[in-house]
Amino acid sequence: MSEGPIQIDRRRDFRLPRIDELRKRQEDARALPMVGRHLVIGGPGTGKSVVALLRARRCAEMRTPYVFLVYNRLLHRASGQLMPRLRMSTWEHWFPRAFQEVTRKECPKREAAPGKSYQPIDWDGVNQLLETHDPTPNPQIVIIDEGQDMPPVFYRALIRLGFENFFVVADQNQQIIDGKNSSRADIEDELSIDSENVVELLENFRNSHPTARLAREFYTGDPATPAPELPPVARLSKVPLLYEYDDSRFAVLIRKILKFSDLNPNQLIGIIAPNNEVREAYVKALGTIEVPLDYPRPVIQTYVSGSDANLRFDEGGIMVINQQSCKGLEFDFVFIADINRFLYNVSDPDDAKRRFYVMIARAKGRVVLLKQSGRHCPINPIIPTNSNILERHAP
Amino acid sequence: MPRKKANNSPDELLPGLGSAPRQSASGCWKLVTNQRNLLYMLAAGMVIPPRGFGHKYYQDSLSTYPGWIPLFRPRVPAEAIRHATSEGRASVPCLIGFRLDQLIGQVYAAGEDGRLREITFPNDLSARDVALLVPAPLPISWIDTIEFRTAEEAAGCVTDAKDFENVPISDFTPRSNAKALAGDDELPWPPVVGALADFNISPDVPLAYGGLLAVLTQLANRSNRLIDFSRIAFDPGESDPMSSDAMLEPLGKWCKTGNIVQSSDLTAKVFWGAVNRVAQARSDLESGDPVDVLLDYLGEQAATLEEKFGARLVQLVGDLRNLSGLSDKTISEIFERHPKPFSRVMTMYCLRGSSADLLRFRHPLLTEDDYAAAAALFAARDGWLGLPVVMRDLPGMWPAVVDRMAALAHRIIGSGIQLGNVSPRPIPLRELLRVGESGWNSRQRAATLELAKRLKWDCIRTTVSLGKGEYCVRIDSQGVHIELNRDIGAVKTDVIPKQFLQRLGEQMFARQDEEAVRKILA
Repeated sequence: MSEGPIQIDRRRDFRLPRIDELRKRQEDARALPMVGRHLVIGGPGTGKSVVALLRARRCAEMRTPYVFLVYNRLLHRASGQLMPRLRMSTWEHWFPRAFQEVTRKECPKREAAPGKSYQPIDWDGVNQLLETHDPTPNPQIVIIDEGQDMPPVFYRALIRLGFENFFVVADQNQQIIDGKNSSRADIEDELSIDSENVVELLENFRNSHPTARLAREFYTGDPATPAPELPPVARLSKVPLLYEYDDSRFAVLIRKILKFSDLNPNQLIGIIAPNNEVREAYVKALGTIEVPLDYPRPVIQTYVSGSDANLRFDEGGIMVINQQSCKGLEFDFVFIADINRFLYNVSDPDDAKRRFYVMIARAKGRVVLLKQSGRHCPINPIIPTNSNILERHAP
Repeated sequence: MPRKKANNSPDELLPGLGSAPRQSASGCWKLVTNQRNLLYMLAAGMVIPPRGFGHKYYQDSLSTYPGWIPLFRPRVPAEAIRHATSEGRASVPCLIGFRLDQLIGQVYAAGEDGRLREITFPNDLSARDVALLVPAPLPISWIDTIEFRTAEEAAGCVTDAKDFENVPISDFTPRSNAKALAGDDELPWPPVVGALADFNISPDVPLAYGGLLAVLTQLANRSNRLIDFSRIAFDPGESDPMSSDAMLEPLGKWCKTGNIVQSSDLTAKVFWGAVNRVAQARSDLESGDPVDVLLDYLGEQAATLEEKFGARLVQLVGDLRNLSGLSDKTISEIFERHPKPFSRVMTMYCLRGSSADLLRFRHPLLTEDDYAAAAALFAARDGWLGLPVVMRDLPGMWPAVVDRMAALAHRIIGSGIQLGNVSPRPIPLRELLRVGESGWNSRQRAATLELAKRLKWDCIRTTVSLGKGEYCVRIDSQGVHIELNRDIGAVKTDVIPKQFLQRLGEQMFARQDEEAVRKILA
């Protein structure tokens, strides 16, 4: 294009659901009573976060006191852009304030690790203080997204603080560390949720069929959260790709990614890296390697845990993040960078499987696994060999 | 609901039928349904048969005789209410009241004895008739009342509707009417009837038509040519003054009949065939991805076409299938490789997922005709139902569209039902701002300025006429001041037309902005 780049509106299709998009099960979850204790269980892409956001939105509209809690800052940012003006917080930021507001005492915290400022909540101390606390019923509705990520003691503490109304959405198949995260049974027990107040969402609305099929290869089979049903087959949705590249062809790969973004300027491409070193390498290359494009070069965003999550999820472009930060997010297209750099614990293969399950399930469209050719790849044992599930491209 | 009709009254169109005893047809006829179906039908713009709900139909009286809409007056059968609530606690019953003043045609009617007979409506309607079966669909512009058992349920309906981007609730006012929803156990329901014509058909093509009307109206702010496309789509005539583009030549015909079977042009045949195939896939729960639907259809067509066109189509389909992978091409490169308008439109469809995306899609190789043709294909995928409220919220838009969709649906299924006059088409702002021989008139100038100010466009120009004389320019911390020892001639603020019109075509406007500007132009 000799006249220079074409100006483009990169706004992403970030919107409320249409009535014809929500299935009856989701409607059932949406229609759960405003007060009471409810749990919505579903795998990635089943629309459970949307249902939680709709509930928060309705609380705001009805001027019912509520808070919408998410696990981390990135989810806070993404959810906030999907539905602005909601009363929203990360759970670890909100809890100490709620604790202090109710008990008039400071929330106990543990000491920060050397060189770090982050002080985790001291749950033993919290429990000790709450043993003698006489709770007053608190009408605020607590809406929790990714509820499996919070520990059981968190839910126990909320009950002891007097909270009575909960709407929790959770997916137990994402990584559960005993005591650190909550199983479905933990949430049901701690919040005394009856089975009639639990809705299971089964249909996968986010992923294409081939992406969901690949994700299923990494499903570790926890029966508490049923695996989402596979979406309808759509042949155009390409089978995920394992793309091997020579180090000398890294620039070619980066140009392909930039051209793909140019072809789809309203889409958000997620590049999920195994560690900071890989993340930084991709960010640098995407920002500097020259390539002719129709539209202005896409915005390259990145995030490192603990920094300000000043990211835009409502515009197309490329977002490079680490594997730990991708939970709960949604991208139109996902590259998992340099899979040969991911760690693999031979004694616990399910750990790597869960991480790949989460990363792959972030994609609405295609997933591409990138691998440096000729390098040892520790996770080879869990990578599917069936080319109907994962196509391979060798250099 | 308030609506203003075009001139043709049913009396003028069908004088014999129009002389019917109006007191029998008048009054409010009520459909028994539930809140979830109600919201779906508001989104669809029509009362549709069960098949039109896809996977989202909740049992109600519409499935008693699928394809036929049961309407009651003045009371409704308790059995119909039980039916509408048969899917558990989520099924909140409600009544939708319709005015049938415009309806003409063959329907079934029943008196309190429950015996059903075929009648010509409204002529043969008896004052003692308490139930009707009318072929679906009916436009939601005919809705007169929406009633729930309690005020809380009515308020809940409004709140629920706001959870969705495509349910227009702001033009309706649900109320409570506990007595009406108590139902009457004495009314026999359902009546026994023999075989009825099968009208349980999803109105896919009419919904595509509604989508096209909305998208073209949004596009019409870009150019006079797109205004013409919009006008023809709303009110197709026998010989529309169209288009050098063969693909768009049958636009009016498709809008009138829902197909162009007899078109002689091959490109037009394949194109409008694609539009219909994509539209019909909306209600086919097994059809898969709409891009696949299109490419499969084009592949099928390629196999039947003469060698040269067929080979080009095969190549295009292959390239379009590759777009979802790691394509090495930019849009410019794809357009240059496939330079025909047909190919550009298909490429746009494969690259962008919604009509809202189409409105934002910019590329210097795209023509106005490309956008108009793409509007048909994108609208077939989204349908009126799939468009966000913001795209159909222009003043006068939805009554004009739903009237036409319902009328087309009856033409397609051959029900013989006449729905009377349609609401006048919404006039795009650009059409209201067409420049006369001496430029914009004072109202147009005021309206353009108002819009530019509201949207903070950088196309506002202020002219200060000073006349002859000497001026002193003074600069201080407040800025630059021109001092003159007399009154100034005139200060005129207006917009720069070329820049204004360019901005006008670039974005959708909030309803309040549109209304404010139209108020000035009225």
